[in-house]
Amino acid sequence: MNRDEFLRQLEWLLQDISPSEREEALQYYRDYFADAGEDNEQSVIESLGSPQKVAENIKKDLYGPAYDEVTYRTTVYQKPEKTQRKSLETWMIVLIVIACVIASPAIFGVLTGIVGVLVGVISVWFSLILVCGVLALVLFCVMGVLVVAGIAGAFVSPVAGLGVFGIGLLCGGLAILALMATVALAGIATPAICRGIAALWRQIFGKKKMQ
Amino acid sequence: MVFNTGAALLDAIVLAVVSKEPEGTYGYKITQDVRQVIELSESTLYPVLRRLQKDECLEVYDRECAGRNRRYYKVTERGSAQLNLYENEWKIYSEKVTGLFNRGGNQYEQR
Repeated sequence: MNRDEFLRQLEWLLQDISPSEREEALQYYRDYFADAGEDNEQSVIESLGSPQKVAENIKKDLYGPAYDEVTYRTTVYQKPEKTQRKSLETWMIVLIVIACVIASPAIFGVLTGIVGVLVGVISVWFSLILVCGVLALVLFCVMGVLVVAGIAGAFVSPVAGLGVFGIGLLCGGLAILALMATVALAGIATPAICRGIAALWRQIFGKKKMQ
Repeated sequence: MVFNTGAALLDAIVLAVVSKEPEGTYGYKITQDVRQVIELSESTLYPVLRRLQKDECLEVYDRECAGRNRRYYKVTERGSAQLNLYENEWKIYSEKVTGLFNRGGNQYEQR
């Protein structure tokens, strides 16, 4: 990261404070870089930490409980904490690898289970769509039969014929409902869910890359 | 550093550093001077300067330097008074602590 990038990121991170406060802070850090000189650009960036940290410090003072002992303690002890975490991480990785080897049959079982559940959920979902579609088709057929039967029957017994005709139309209404449900499930909900999962995936991976 | 620098002490140090320059001084230099005395992350100084400015302990002005305007900070009258108060408080505080430590240290000297 160079100075321009640093300042650009800082400007972006300070979007939510007032324009005058933002310009003030940016002016300060622009001066700061200029006074440090081009040769020291990298060391300044390193000692400032990240644009995130700089922005956080500015906002903490603007909004938060301004400058109490607690914020100081965290800034002072940040360095030792970081190194400690690093050594802990290597140990944890070794432990995790050993645990994985020992527990591999169990992990395999769990993974198979997860895949099974996923396949099951997806199957249920598509069956639901299929059932709705078939229901719509059947109801349409029933409507056709009943409407024709009703009209024919009306010649013999007008009351019974109209009754059958009415039930036929009712079936037609239900068929349209089932058709709408099918379209909604297959055409709208399914792509939306897929997009949601994709977005979630990207968010998780995108964040990992940023770190 | 083992000891934490609290808000008041940091204010006092910054005011003292700035008051050393009657003409005022600029952000980068203040940071370097403060860091001669205490350990501090460079990003913590701007909010302190900004707050002291808002509290009217510091005033700012821009001065032309190498083709650009550099912002200078100068201690106000109110800032000097505040610094005076801090210095007195610090004297009392540090003498008490030093006195306590010295009483413990006598044993060592007597050996």
